Amino acid sequence: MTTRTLQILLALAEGPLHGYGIKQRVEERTEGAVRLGSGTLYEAVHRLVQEGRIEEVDAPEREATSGGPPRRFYALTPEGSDALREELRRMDAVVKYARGRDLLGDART
Amino acid sequence: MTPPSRLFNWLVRLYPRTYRARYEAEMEAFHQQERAAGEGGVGYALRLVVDHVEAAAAVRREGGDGMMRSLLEDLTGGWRALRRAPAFTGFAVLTLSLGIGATTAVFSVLDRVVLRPLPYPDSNRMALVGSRLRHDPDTRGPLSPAILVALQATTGPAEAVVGAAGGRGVLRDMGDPERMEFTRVSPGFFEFFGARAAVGRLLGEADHAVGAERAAVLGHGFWRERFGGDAGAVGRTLRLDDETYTVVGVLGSDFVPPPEVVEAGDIYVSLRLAEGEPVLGSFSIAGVARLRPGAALDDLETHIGRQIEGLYAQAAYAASLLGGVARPFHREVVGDVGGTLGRVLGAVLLLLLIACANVASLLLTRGAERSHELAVRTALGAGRGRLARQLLSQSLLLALMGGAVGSAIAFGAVEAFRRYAPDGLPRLAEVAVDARGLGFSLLLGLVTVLLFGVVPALRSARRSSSASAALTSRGATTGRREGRLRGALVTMETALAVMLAVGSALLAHDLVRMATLDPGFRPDGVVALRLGLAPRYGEEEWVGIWDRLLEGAEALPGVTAAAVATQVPYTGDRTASLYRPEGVDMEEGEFVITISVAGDYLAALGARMAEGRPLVALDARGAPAVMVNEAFVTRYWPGESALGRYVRSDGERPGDAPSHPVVGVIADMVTDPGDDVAPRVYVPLASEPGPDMEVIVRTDGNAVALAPALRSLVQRIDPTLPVTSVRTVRALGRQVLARPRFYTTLFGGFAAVALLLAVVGVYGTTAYAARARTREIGIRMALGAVRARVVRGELARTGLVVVLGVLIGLAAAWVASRALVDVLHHVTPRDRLSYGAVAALVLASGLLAAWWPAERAGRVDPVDTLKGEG
Repeated sequence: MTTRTLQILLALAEGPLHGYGIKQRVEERTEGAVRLGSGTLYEAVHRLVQEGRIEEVDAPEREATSGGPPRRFYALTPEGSDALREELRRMDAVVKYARGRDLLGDART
Repeated sequence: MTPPSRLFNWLVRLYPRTYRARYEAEMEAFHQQERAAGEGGVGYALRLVVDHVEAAAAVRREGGDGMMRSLLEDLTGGWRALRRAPAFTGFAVLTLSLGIGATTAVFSVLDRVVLRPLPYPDSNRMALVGSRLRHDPDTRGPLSPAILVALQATTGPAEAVVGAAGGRGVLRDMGDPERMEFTRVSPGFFEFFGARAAVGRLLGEADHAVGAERAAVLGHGFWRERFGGDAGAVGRTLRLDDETYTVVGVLGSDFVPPPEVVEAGDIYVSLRLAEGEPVLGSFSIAGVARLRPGAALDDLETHIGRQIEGLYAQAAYAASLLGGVARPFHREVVGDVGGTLGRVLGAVLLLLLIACANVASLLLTRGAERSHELAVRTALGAGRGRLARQLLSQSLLLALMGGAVGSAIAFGAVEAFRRYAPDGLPRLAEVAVDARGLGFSLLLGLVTVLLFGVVPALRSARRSSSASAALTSRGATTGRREGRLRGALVTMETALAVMLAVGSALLAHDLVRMATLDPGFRPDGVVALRLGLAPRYGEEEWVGIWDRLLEGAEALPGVTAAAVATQVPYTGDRTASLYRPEGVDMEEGEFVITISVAGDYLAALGARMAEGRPLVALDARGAPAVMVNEAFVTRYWPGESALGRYVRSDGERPGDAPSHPVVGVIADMVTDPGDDVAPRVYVPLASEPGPDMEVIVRTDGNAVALAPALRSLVQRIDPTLPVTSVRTVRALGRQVLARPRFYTTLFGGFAAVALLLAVVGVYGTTAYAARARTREIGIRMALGAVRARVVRGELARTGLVVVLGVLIGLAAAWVASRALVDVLHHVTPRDRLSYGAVAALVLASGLLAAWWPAERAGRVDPVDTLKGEG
């Protein structure tokens, strides 16, 4: 799973969002380290929809009434949640392993 | 639409149609939110391009078929490879885009100004028409109302003839009264140029009829600026001087006021040719004709001549009118600008070549560095064709990126050009980068890269076929041939940079000479006020008014000298006269500029007498005495004293004794450093007064501060007199040098970039060559070579290449600088100082660029090198 995919799934784990919302949430959490442009974001979204990991959903109540053009909102599918959980567990295992052998650099300082 | 949005709209076309249908609106909203969040500028534009190109390639790769897929894979592979080497990619793109951007900008200007037909229907059949005046037969003189009326009635070989004349007036009813220039046009003028109204209507037949209500048409820009683009402007009234006009319409934004015909495109009114008898005098109309298909220009000229003959046979003007003139519109407008822009294009192409050589040398370096990787891949079974294709696709991507960034540079450069171009450059309003210009830059990018990218690609592919050799040698002996190729590229770059630098050094030296030339007078501290007495005062009143102004000006505090004269230095008015030197047969059409002066003209301008005495008021009595300038003496009485000789005037016949004694010779005042000083005769104002004169004052204080005092002086004498302009002579002088200064800056900029690229090229070559032989150097040092000697050896390799480049460049410049002969006035194209300075500069910077990496190579630690052997 690429960083970009992981970040998008993570963002959607907190609830449905539209494209720009995903970008904002990702940039907030990574403090700008991961930046998403309109092109690459929708390319990833398109792929994730085809893979069945996310899906289009109706806009949440508060967003729908806030005016502006109707926007597509996306949410995790059960498959998406599973894939995310699996990926996070895998990463967790890796981190645990690394920490056990002092590979995170904590010991060197 | 804002530029980023335009870019965005262009970028979304990269996606497949179905994908667009689904996501375009979303991406658009996303983009708008980014804009709203304050994103913008060049950085954002670049991110947009990278983002969408990458995404579109990914989308298409997913959905594409065989061919497309493999092409995209190549491109994606190339893209990844480029991303892995950001320094290489960045530098190659920067170099390419500088070359492409500058070339595209200059091409766009040249294309719009010179190559394209003028933006009017059948403009290739249009001709500027006018009269040929005896005192200046080479010039296309204006038409009189009578001639235009006759030509419109009998068009002869022309389909149609129209004309326009400039007018000046005080515009009221729109805020503060202000002096405006406007244009008076003949019937059929707007139809002739294919103009359309954006709002309301243009002037029609009825508006030109006798007794018609006064109607005005506004230029689009003026309407925007003054009425905020409000359609309600139509129907409003304007008061120009004492006339009231009703605005009937606004011209379309695409209408370009025809150059040479319309000077002020803000307000158009009727010439009112139909009223009364057509005026024979008042030559003030610029005429344009459209020839019938197949008709010849000469026929039109003859036709105009015949009309003039018919009209003026009985009139007093007959003697001074020689006939008609008809000249191709486009050529008259573009004039010698084609030559100038051609030179600029030549300079910029040199720059592009340098950029190409740089990129080629970069690609060669990279090819050599990757030869190991390629050898491994070949050994693992990658097809040679596939490898070459990937290398080529990298070049293609570089070309595209260089073209894209280059276009952005071109847009900026053309915008800057429009803002800073000197006055008098024709068709400036039409200049813009368009699809043609962008196509040109794309083409340039492709040609460059194919030319300079294919060779390295093929070489790499060929080399990788001897995979085993490459694997074992580890690139240590990266070909001698390649070294030679790189050397040749650096030589070429250096030579081209020298050529450009010599060109700009010549221009700069010429400019310095012009700027520091002794003009023969002291322009600092002089203010000139231009004033017109007509039509308010009759001819007999002129002298009196000028005298009062002169007295008033002399009395102003801070004024040390004052004068009134027909012209002030740097203003190029040519006053026709038939004063001619006694005892000399002047050629047909040769004439002497006459300047009427009153007051202390010499002191006011700080001019000097070369011989004799200045004119005094008494000189106007009887047969007026005159002054001439040095150029006059040199031309007509070479080697003789002018004092005591005579000048003939208009009315005298060859048999009469000439009546104007020359009492003084004024030292030449050089007002156009690019031209010879013209012969001049100075006559007392009282004997030849004019309605339009300059009041010239010298102050020992601040010249600019004197302007209001001068204006209020005119106000005191007659508050209704329109002051055209007040300016310091120093400022007028600066305008004269504006054009050479502009071109010198332009060339200098190209030369600076060229030099920078060449230096970087030299540096890169030495650095690369030294690095490739680190092992060899290490071993030599381990064997006892002295460091200084190693450095010298490395330096000598590239140093030789630089010296060779400089020599070739100087020789080429020696030949090519002849192209500049028309624009250089005070230095020859063989100016040694320029050549010497450039040679020294390029040698010094080139050797420095070679020395640095050589010196570093000398610091190689032999132990490290030998360790690396294990």
